[in-house]
Amino acid sequence: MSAALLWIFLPGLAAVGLWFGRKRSGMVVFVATGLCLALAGLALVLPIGKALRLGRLLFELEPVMNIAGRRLVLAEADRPLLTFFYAIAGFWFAGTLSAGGHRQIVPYGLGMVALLVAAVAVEPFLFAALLIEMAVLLSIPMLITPGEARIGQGVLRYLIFQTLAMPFILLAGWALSGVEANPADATLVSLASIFLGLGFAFWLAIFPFYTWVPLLAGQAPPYAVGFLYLVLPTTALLLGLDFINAYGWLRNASQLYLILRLGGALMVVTAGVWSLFQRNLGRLFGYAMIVETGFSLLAVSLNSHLGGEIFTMIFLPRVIAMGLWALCSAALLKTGRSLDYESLERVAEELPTASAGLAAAVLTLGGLPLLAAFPIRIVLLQEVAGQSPLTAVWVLAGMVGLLFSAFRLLAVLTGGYFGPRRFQEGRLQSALIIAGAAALLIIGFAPRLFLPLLAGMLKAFTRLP
Amino acid sequence: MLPLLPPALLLLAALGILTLQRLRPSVGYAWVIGTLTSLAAAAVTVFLRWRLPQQTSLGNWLPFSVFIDSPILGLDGNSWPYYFSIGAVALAVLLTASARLEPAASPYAWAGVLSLCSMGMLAVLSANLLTLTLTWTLIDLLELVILQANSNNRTLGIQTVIMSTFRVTGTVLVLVAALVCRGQNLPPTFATLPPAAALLLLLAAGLRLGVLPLHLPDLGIIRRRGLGTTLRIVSAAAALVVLARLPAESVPAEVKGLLLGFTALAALYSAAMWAGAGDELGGRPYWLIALGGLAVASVIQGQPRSSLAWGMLLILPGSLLFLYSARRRQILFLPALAVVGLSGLPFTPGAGGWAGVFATPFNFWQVLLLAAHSLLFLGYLKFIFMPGEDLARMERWIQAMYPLGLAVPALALAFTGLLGWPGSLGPGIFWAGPLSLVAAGLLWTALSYWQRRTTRDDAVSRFYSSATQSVGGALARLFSLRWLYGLIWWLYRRLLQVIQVLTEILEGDGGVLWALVLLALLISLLRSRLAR
Repeated sequence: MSAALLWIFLPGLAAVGLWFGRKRSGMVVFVATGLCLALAGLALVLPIGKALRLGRLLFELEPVMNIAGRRLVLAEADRPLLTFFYAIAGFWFAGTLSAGGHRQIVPYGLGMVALLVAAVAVEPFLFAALLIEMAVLLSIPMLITPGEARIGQGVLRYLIFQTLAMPFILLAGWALSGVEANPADATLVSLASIFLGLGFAFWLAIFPFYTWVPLLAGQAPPYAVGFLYLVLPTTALLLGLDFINAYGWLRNASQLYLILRLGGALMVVTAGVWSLFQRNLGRLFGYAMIVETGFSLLAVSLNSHLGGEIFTMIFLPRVIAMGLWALCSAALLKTGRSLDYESLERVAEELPTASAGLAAAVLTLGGLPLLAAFPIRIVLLQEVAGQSPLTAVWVLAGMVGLLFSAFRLLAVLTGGYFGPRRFQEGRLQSALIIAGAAALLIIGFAPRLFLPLLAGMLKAFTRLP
Repeated sequence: MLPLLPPALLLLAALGILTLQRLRPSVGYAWVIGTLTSLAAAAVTVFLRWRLPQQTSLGNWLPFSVFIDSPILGLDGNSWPYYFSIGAVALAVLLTASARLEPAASPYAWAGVLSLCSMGMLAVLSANLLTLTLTWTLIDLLELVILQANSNNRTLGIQTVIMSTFRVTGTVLVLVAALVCRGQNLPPTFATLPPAAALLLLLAAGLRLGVLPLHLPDLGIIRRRGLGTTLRIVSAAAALVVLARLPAESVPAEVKGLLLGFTALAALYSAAMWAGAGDELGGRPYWLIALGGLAVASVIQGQPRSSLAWGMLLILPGSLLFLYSARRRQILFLPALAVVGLSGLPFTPGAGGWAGVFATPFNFWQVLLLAAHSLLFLGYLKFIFMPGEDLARMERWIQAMYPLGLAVPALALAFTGLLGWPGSLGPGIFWAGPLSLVAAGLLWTALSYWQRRTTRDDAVSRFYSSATQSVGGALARLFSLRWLYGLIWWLYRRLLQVIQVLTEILEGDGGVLWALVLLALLISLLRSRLAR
């Protein structure tokens, strides 16, 4: 049996099946969560490309699957990636009932994950552009609130920018095949670099192409937006790392790391400063995501083993904080409020758990010491300072901008009132939020116990330092 | 590991009290648990005076395969006085709490006191910048939780934000200092601080103390004597210990005058507000800023060791006075002992501080710092003679315990004066203490005369009175820095408008084209950079 059959086609087919049964939302969530967690578990224990004996049954998961002249390659080294993808999806789908999002999220989300895993696996790589575009198109129904007649500007802008990435990646594929045939052709190398750079800039919403991020976050349902912001940039980042791993001329270009450092710093600084002036929780979420992508780029720009470790470890706090943020935002929306600050004033009096969860998530993404993201951020900043102290100080300023906006949000949520409150939250929702906030705190206190869990993802990039 | 025992004991006691209050509420048991534990913790801190230095590292705390940095807790000659005094404050608060059982016995507040002191001890032990960042944040978060648990009104909103902003800014300055160290390939420890990092740490400590720039950490909602005092003292101790650990040449000569000027003005203004406050609790924030200012000034003038003396005066006589709720003539000698320590006379605990104030060369700001000390002394004297609750009417056991509690900071001050740090017992600058007392005496005489003069009902007196009020009001407005915060708020509003316009352009119909224009601009900038 092929690994692609298990981790791409099975979830893809399940997504189609669940779409037909989407009216039974409880069953859909249960099946999708179970399937994702099972696939994550299987990726954790099943070796790929090695014979495995189960009683009398002897079988092997083949790493390569040929389909219509293309190859889908899921090798042994990709197992941590698969675990990561499906664990995120399972984690996210488990909260959908509590978040109260519309019923399209689960089938479309599962389909997206299958397509994104295919994008990481496909060879030649230029087909990744098509698969990601399909995933983007599949995500559109999740972003439109049911019953909404008009499609928001954010969704359109998202679609435009993500679609613009596709031709650039396809052109980059053409140029790269030329470079492989004739590595000395400097023009082709330059063209490949420019096309790749622009393609990834659109995919990752790198400055100045990130305007759709806060726009979309301010308009679309937070739980769907959170899922989207998590899986799409993660896939693009992993693909980008795969490129650097695959092409020696790219890996050895010192200018690449300078551009990555500059791009990452610009994203953190501009989004951090912009976040200070936001008066909508959804938009603040968008800016926090831009800051996160900026930190990932900075980690890659280090071009060292430590940079790789930072790149992988950044994901765990991000996933938990974003999940918590999306869940708490959805809980606030369920009470009939909007995500504007005027509407959220003193909401902690009625929804203390959601408010506390939100505060924990925002403060984590702001890099507050003692919370989960801090141990990674401080080392990343120190390493950037080793290369360029001024850039590190600017990045810190951007991070502080987000942190101050977190304190401002805290003041809005509490309204300065810390007295007795009336609890109006469901038990499941409260339990999930408390678990998420506790996880952020525990990871912050004992980072060594948890953060290296994702370091295995580096195995897929054998040529990186 | 032994230095971790007192904070662990205090934290366990806090948890024990909280558990007890949940399962079987009992004020008596809670008080006994708190008092005995803080007594044991204080005893260990005394014992550790003869076991210095000690250091504990948390090893591989960070999750990376290569060792980069780790939290380090260290007890040395600079940190021990603060470590010990926090233990003494915990004990004093619990013992004197006996006199405050009637109006508001709150075991939850005692748990807060014990946990704050525990975190404060950890902060004092911080031996590198990473640990300092973590422990400062721990204290800030704990303060937030305590404020949360002790306030039933709606006055916190903007105050919480301003307080958090100042605190976080201080922590951020520590992070910048760590980046500066890394930029110069130096480990981020106190032993290897480059001048720029030392200056940043001085500013961070000054910010947390409310000195640089002058601002009041407005925790007015908690006017409790025990918990309110602990909140302020612990936070101040966590910042003061950094001052003592800074190198002598922390401040570049070019900015020395400017920083000293700001510090001296902040100290003088706060000392004047302290002396003029209605009671010691109203003046409490000013006490902290004024003495914190003297400690900061010592570092600016290249004498970080002298900051220890001012730090001890801030914590020990300060906590004694703030806990001095029930009064009786027979126990007046206890605050009087603190007055002797505060006087700065030769061979008293305050004497060591003068080297930081009157470091050569002489400058005008030193006169202001001396005046600040005189005003602090005057205010202290005024407050110990003010009426309070009558101790004689309280139960017998309280009459025994309460003076014991007051004796703890007084004895601790004497102990640190004798054995606190090398040079803590000495003449200091022998003429400075007497000069300050003479200045205080002259001030007292002048103020008394002025008061008599302005209370007469004639035209000249009314003129003097209104002139005094106008000048005082103007000075108060100037030094309160509300105008500065107003200016910052105005700037924020203008920036907000600019950001809104930019956002509308970038997210409007022409947003995609604008993004491409920005990209072209970025590429043109990058080309020149890459060409270099």
